[in-house]
Amino acid sequence: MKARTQTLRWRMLSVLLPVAFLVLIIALLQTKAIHQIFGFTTAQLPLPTQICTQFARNLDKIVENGWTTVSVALLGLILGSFLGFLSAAIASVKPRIFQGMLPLLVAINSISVVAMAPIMNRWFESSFCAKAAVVTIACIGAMSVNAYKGMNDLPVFSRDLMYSYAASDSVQFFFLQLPNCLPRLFVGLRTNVVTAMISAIISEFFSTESQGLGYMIKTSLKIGNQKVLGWAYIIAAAAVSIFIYFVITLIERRALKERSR
Amino acid sequence: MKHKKRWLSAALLGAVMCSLLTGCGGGNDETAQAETAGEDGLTHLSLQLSWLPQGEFMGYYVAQSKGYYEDEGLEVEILPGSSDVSPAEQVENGVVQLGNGFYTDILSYREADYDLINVAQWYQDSPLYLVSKKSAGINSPADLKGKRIGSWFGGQQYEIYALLGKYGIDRDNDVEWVQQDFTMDAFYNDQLDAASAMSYNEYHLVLDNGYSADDLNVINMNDEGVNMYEDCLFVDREWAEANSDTLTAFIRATVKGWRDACADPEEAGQICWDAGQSVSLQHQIDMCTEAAKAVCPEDIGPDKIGWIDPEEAQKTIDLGCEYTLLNEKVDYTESVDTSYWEAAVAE
Repeated sequence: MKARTQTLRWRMLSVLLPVAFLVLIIALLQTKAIHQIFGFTTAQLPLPTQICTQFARNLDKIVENGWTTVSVALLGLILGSFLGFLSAAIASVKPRIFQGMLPLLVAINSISVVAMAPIMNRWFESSFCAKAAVVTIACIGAMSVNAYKGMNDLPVFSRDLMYSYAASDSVQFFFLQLPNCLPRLFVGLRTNVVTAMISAIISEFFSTESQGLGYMIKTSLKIGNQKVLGWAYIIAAAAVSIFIYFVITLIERRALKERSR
Repeated sequence: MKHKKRWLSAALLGAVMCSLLTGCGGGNDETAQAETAGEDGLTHLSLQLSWLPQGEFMGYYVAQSKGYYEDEGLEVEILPGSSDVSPAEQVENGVVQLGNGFYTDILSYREADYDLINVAQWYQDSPLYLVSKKSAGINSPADLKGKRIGSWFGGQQYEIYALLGKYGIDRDNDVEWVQQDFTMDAFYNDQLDAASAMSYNEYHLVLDNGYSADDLNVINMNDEGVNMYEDCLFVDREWAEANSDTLTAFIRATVKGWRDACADPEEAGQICWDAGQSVSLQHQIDMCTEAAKAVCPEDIGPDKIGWIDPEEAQKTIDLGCEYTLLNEKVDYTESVDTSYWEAAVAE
């Protein structure tokens, strides 16, 4: 009983503390305490109320542009994660391949979005495809490494057990390795949510399409009297990322619970 | 004990971070002070350009290379810009004393309470073109309806908004906007119909790329009467008041630089190329030749380089208000101070 109230307390704290921190930051911003310390003007760092006003006033546009970004990020997230998973699966069946692939994965992962986006713009005629391609490439690495680890960090002797059953490679893969990599799969997915949103937003900086959160952030921050609007879009981008991350965490909890049953 | 240590180190780290960040703060609270001459007897100034070292800014580079600044007792550092450096922010933050940027940009920053003023208008005519291939069928601005129009969306879009407004084209529904990068690839690849192009830069890129002027339709903002004031010299008002002699000296030297450059664009091109090889020598010379036409048009002449035409300045504000750049219709005199330029060209 005591243990239960304690975990409950921890749980409440883990929600309350971040919320309290957020409130504190907002209060520091609103009272211009941060402006005082760092010597910012409100033109350089707008007040939360100013940002909220702009947010409310442009809500329809924010939703419209947000959807453009989310659709790109989600498509890239799914494609990239799938490709990463596929490469890990191939590599687990044929470990030699993984050793050859690893440097390539590292190389792909280290290409910055800033370099990739203009190249993709030249490869693809449709700007939607160009952006989705950038996100896809950015999402391969994390999923591949995580899935591979999950497929191969197996419980001790489980391989031997399978061997004693004379289980074929495919049986081992589907009944041992695949279930075993599920938690790691979600680690990869969660990492990729952030990667996908960031790379979608940055590739919008370079896109020919005049739409999306990234495009709006870039153009509003460039115009002297529209900077507050830029901040509103930054907040929107952060909110969307947190929301998708939250959804994936929920699915993860569900999936892992099913599995432990 | 262990816990205490952890708290202590966290607190220390926080304190260090705070003091570091405070040092980096971009505030400009101090009142402006007069710049003083260094040990070498020269007053040091820095100028933030809005783009790469190119013919667009030939006046400054020519003044620099011919020693006009030194003659005035100035040592000027010319900082090249990029699409992500805002000269207005640089001036406001006190990183540099002088900025070169669009007058439209200054107006917009003024609405965010930056007290910046235009002290010399270099570009009398708008160098902005909308360029399209003949095959796109844009023979007059009215044909832009339903077309894909490119812009860099760095403040250059408002002249196009005004152009569309003049022809009754709804910019939200009747056209499709394309974000251009700083190459003309989207134009070559037919990802847009009408591309933004500066007469002195991108238009010549297109010509160099094998298109002849006969293959192209060009919409000139000046011909359509929707031109707005672009590159000018601007400063913080307080700084200007505290440094009126220095500013006047700088303008005097720069006007001389522009005059020389407009009279001999070929030489100016060579000087700009020495300052930055982002484009070929020939392209620098072409840029200077075209820039000269906008800085020193025939109807204004070399004596009035840097002049701020009250009518044009007010027109820029009025168009800006009508086409979402500005929220408030103000009198142009608030954002302009011609006295330094007048003193500079008085002799």
